[in-house]
Amino acid sequence: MWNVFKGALMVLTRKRELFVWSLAFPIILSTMFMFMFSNLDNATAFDPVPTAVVTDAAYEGSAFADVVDKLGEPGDDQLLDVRAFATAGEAREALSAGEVQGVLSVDADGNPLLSVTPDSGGLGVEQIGRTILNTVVNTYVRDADLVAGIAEDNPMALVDPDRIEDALAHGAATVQVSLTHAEPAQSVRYYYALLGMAALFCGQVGMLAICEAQPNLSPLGARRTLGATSRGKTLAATLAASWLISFVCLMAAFLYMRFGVGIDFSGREGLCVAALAAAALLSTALGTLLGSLPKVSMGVKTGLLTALTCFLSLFAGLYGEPCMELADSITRNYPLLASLNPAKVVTDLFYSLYYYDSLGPFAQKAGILLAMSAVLFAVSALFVRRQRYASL
Amino acid sequence: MEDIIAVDNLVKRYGDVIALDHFNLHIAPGEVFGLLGPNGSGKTTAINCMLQLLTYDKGSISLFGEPMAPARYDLKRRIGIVPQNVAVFEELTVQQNIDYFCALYVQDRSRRAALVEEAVAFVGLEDYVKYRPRKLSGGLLRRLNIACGIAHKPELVFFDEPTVAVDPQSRNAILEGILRLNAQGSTIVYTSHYMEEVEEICTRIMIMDQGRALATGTNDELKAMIGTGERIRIEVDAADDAVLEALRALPCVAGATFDGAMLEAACGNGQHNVADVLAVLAARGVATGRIYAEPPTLNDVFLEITGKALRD
Repeated sequence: MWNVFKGALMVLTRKRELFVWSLAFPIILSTMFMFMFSNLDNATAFDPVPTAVVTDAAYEGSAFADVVDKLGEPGDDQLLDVRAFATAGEAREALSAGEVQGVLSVDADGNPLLSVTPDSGGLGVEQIGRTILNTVVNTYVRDADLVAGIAEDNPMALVDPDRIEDALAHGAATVQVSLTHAEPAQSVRYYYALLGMAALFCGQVGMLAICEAQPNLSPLGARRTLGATSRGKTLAATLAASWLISFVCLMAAFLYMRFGVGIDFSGREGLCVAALAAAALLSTALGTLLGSLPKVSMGVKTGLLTALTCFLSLFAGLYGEPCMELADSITRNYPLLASLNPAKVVTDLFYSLYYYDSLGPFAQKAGILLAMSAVLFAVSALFVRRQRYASL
Repeated sequence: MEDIIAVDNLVKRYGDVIALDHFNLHIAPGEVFGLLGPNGSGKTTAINCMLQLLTYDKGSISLFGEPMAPARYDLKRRIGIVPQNVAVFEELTVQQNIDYFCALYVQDRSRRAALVEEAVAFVGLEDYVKYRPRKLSGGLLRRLNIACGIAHKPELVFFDEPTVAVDPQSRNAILEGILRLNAQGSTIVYTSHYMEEVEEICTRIMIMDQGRALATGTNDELKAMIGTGERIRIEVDAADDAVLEALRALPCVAGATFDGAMLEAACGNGQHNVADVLAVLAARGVATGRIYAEPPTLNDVFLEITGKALRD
């Protein structure tokens, strides 16, 4: 059995045409994605809100000015990009020109004022900026009122800074919860979908291997069947070699994405390797089924696999934003249908690792993948188990 | 001695076409048995049935005295097959190909290495062990095909038309190799539609057509089965109808023709055919040149049995 495995490995690794789709294609496409999506994640990254500040006499020396200065300090947690204007008119001009998203000033009583452009609706960057400025002003006003109230009701309390800090802290009322395992990045889904597509393309390895092992599909298969090694062992060793090659191809694509392109797999690389192993099993099973179809030429089988891969990848969202929305829509409305698409299941396998804290979704997707592989192998067995043929 | 192959009443149908029609075959150990017949006569189908690649409708097949079945790996271990189409891996070298197929029978690595080396030498591919099949000529490729089938030293080897599309030199090398293999103890089943090859190497021959065994015997036995004896051709200047009639009147002559330069007389089995024909020509005053006397061929046998030439 080892000899058959070794032989199959030697033969398959020397079939260069196999590696065009199984290895080169995902690496080339990853590189293309790298350039195509370089701005996609930056678009959703947070930038400090450009804010005009009217630095008149009322503003200078006010407590609010200290708050604004603090929020505008450069650093990872910089919230505001402060731009100083001498007069309210100049600041409003900048607002009208779209250079800033709001104007902050202080009235004669020391109360902060916020001016923004009319809300155009939606969830754009400007809307988020306006909301942030609104929150800054509201929070300041509320906290100032609170401190003023304490000063009026219990002046001695102001002596203890800890009590003031407790009173102003919002921690008890607001709990920060991470909904995702990693910081969501839009582009990773395309790479995961690409891994799904690569997994299906790897089906070629199993397909070719099975064609060369079946007596009714090639003279080589007939000759191998006449050997004194049992048919079950021959097929098992051949499929094991196919699986290993598929796994190595997917692994190479994964490593390139991880370390070449820098795609985030949320620190779960170990589980990703397990996912690749499951994906390789699926690709071998799919290839086995297509390869074992009787009375269909190798060319037609290759065409079938390519068409199937491209078609199923469409519903995994590989071909752009509309396709991704279509894939999401199908998942929401027809989850069973989405679960029957191996490209989508492989994509989701990686996404569930990336997105969810829990490993439950990953286990579920892996289970679907393994079940799918088992079904494909079982159907293939109906074609390949025959030992004698009515015609060759 | 027990037959190494015993096939009885084998019937194989492809739909309405009968590929093997109550086919019987018994081969003793040590024979070089030739299955001779035109393309489509059922030779390869018979082999595929014997090797359990094909299902069959009726009949029994025993190899080495045991009923043959697809999972009889103990019997398969003793068989070698050289298929009609070259079936080797394009991706492996000559040596790796032989090793791969030998490994289907022999697990022990060191023993296999010796067998592979022996097979390479047997077919004369020592200078090509590192070559891939695509770099080999048609003849060398056929030799590789043979080496892959015989490396494990089988007791019974099927050669299915091994010399198709090879040059005369390679053909001779292949035929010599088969005889050497037989001398080393292997029983050979050799199929071909080239009667010269079968005549040259086979100890017994079966003539097949349309799935039926038409005749079986040694080369001489087959030729003795038919009425046609030697064919006598004589260079003459002229031969009129009277001469031809006189020749046809001889009891040993079945027919006589003259094409303007060569007179041809088809004779039956007889001891003095040439002398009798020459006596008639001398009596008629016909001057003779060179004389050719050709014994009957297997094609004559086939022609007489089926009414058509072997290569029709």
